[in-house]
Amino acid sequence: MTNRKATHIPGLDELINGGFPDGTINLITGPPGSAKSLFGIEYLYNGARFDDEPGIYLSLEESRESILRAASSYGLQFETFEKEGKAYLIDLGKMRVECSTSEELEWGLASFETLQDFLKNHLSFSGAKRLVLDSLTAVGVYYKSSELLRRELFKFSRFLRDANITTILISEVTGSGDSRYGIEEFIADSLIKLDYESATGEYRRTLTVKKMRFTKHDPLKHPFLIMDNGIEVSPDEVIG
Amino acid sequence: MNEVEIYGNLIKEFIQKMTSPEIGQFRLEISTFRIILERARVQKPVLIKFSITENGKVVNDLDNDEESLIALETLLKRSVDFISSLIGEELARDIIIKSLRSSSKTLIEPMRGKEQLISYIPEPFDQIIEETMKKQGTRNDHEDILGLFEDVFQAYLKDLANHTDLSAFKLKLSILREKHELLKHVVVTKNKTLDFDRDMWASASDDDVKEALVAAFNSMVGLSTFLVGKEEAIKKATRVFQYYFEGKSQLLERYDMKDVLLEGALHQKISSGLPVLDNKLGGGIPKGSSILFLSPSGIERDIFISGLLTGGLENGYSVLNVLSKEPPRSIRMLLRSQGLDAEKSEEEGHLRIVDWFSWRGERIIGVEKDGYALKSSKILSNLGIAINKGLRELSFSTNKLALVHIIGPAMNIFEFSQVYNFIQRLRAKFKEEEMASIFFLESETLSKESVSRITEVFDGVIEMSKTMDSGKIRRELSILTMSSVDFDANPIPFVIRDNALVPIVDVEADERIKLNKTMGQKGTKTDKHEIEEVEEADEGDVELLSEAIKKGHLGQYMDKQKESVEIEMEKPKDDGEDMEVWVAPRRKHDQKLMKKVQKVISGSSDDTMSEKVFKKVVRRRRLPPDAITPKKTRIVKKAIPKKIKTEEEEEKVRRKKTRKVIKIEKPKPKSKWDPIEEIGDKPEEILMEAIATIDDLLEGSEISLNGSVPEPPPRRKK
Repeated sequence: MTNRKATHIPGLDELINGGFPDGTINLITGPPGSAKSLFGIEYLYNGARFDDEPGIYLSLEESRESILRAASSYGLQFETFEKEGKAYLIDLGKMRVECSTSEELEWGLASFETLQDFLKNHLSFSGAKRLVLDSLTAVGVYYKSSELLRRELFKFSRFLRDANITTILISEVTGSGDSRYGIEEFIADSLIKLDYESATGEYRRTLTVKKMRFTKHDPLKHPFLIMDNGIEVSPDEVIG
Repeated sequence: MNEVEIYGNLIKEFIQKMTSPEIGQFRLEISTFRIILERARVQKPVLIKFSITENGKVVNDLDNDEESLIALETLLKRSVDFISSLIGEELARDIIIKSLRSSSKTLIEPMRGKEQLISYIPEPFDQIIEETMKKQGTRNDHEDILGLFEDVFQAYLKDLANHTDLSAFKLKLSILREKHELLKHVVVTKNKTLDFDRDMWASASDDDVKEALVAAFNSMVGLSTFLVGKEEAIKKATRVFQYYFEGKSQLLERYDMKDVLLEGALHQKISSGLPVLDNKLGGGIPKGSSILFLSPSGIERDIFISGLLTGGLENGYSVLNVLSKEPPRSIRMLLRSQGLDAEKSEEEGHLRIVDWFSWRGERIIGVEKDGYALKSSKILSNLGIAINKGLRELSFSTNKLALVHIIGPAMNIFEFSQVYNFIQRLRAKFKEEEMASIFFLESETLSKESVSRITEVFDGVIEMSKTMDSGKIRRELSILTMSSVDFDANPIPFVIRDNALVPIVDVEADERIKLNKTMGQKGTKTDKHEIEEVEEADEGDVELLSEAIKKGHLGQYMDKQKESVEIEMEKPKDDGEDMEVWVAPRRKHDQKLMKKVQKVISGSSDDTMSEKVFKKVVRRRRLPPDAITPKKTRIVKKAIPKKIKTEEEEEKVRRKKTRKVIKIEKPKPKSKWDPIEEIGDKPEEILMEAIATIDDLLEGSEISLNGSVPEPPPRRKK
């Protein structure tokens, strides 16, 4: 039986047969404001809290303060686990801010290669079992062609799989597509799409598990809410 | 074999024995019984369906209902009275008992567990029943129930032993032994089962057996709860019980165990809040079924909902209430007005309110918490989420009830198909949770076609109607459909009284009692309600009960249960006769209240009452099944043997008797209720007034009440 990393997000694990299979790469996509980052934070935080599994959150765009504030507004005290060595929030975005665009591009601050080098050291140090990369969009801009991006992403994914770390890649999409570059979903083992839509004069958030390898999953569109303590998916409710 | 058939067989056997030469010194002709039957038919026309052929064959085509039982009782009583008039009461009793003793087992065995039937069997037949049950039945039943419990214990202890050694259970058992003598005759064997000293258990009373078994079993469940959690423990125990007691659940009923075992998990139905409706549904609403309740808007429906909600919480159900017409605070206020602490129920998880009302006046994003209530925005998917959250937050209970009031408003906002699908999903969810659910719909808000289509979703439909009939409002409650339930489709006419739905049959009974009071306590004894001549009041028993009420033994209980109780007492002037007390709780929980009243009156619940020992408690059922008052208890005190030879003598003695009717109503909310003050001297005053009224009426008139003097209630003589 496949071992899984439970997200402990209420209602979600029911849809994905208990969690993400160990060592897989999982893509979370959605438009801005669709709670992708919160999803990633909860995945990491809950792993440390409920399963005692260390994890790394690599942020390429959002600042550390911003993420900590977001987490704390849902009662997730990320720093507590950082002190205990169970969670690491790494703000690569700060480094990017301090460099000019040309320097950033020249040094490849957020390229897959740089990330891989960074992680090689950090994974052995932290013993992390979970990883969140927020976001893939920031890495993709380094690559001029989709073929190159695909090749690099493939290499990066091989590295993650070899490291047996269960990863969430966050990717921002606009419009009706499932991913930003149209290739991520082929590399990833699973794809969860977060969205919101209009219904009778109000917006509702939705979650659809569009793909999940090694898993008998629920492919229907389910509503979810952001409650005081974070995301709550309603597996019993179906839209459409 | 139904109850009327069993009763018919008893009469058939009785006739056969009485007309057989076996008796020797006494023998009746078939024609005599035919004449007795003919006369009984005048009083009970339904006996036309019961006949005795010339060669003594009995043809019983009576319906299996209470009316038939009453009619058969009348026939049997008349027969006994006739024999008594010929050879004297004592000899008649001896002959009847002797003649039926040989066939008593065959006759009595089918009566086991049929309390209602037994209550209609007159003297001296009830004595045979008692003897037979005591000699054979009880012992056999104890054997049966011990055997089953042994299996249950074995299965359960084996399971418990997987989690822990049994030292905790043994310790618990040793503590229980101090309270339950019978448990001293139980040992835990090496094979992890309980070994009963059967001889000791077989000679014990039903109550002792019940209490000891329940205590032992509950201690196991308690230990299991500690190990695996309450929900898992109850589910596991329920599965074990259902496995071993399959097809033998009447044994649990006979020992009155279903309520006390596993928090009522063995009940497959839950109460609708109206006993009369529960009766028509064959015991209540089946768990897991969804019912559509069609009604016009109005107070009737509100009272019904209120009864469901308060009754449910009082019964320990977990209740989910989905509102669309009022905010949660209205429900909390309603519960408070009924003496229930809504906040406490919410805090303990017995009640969850889903608020689909507030979105009309305030901005709600998705689902928001407001205290323990869950507010949903307008869209149905969010309402669904709120309901699911509410269900998850409800504390574990083996009896769960959902009251959903959304169909009408939802139909006004969304398309029919959306609402239809939504309700289907809810129904599936409730079924999965084994939760009984009632969906309310105002019949006037939808077209007939839509109502007809929406009913397809449900397991049953109950309709409450309100029509004008000859200038009067006529209200009825009817079960239109109910899948997998043998329900009674006859409508229940009702009125609203004291903020409660009262079936008309019960109102009529009350009216007759009132009429009797105003007519100087002279009334007519009816088949359904026993109302008797009253000549003067007796103080002693009023004091006895008043004292009990004052001390709170009865009053507090009534206050808590929001019930009223009617107590009728009869005491002869001389000490040589029976004293009878009739107790008729008027609303739900009647059995509990009745037991409480019995205890108070018989003195077993209070030291100061202990001198007032009543010798025997006899239950008799006198009201039709659809009456709101389901049982009366007769408590007979100091039954000193005596003979009443003729009807005239009996009539004379009866006229001497003292009789009093006291009606104790539940206190008005918020008022400080003093039952003593409530009763006060009123009965005497009323009585004196009544006597004066009669005297006035009779003086100089040709009115004679002799012709309408009713028969006394049946009394047990020794």
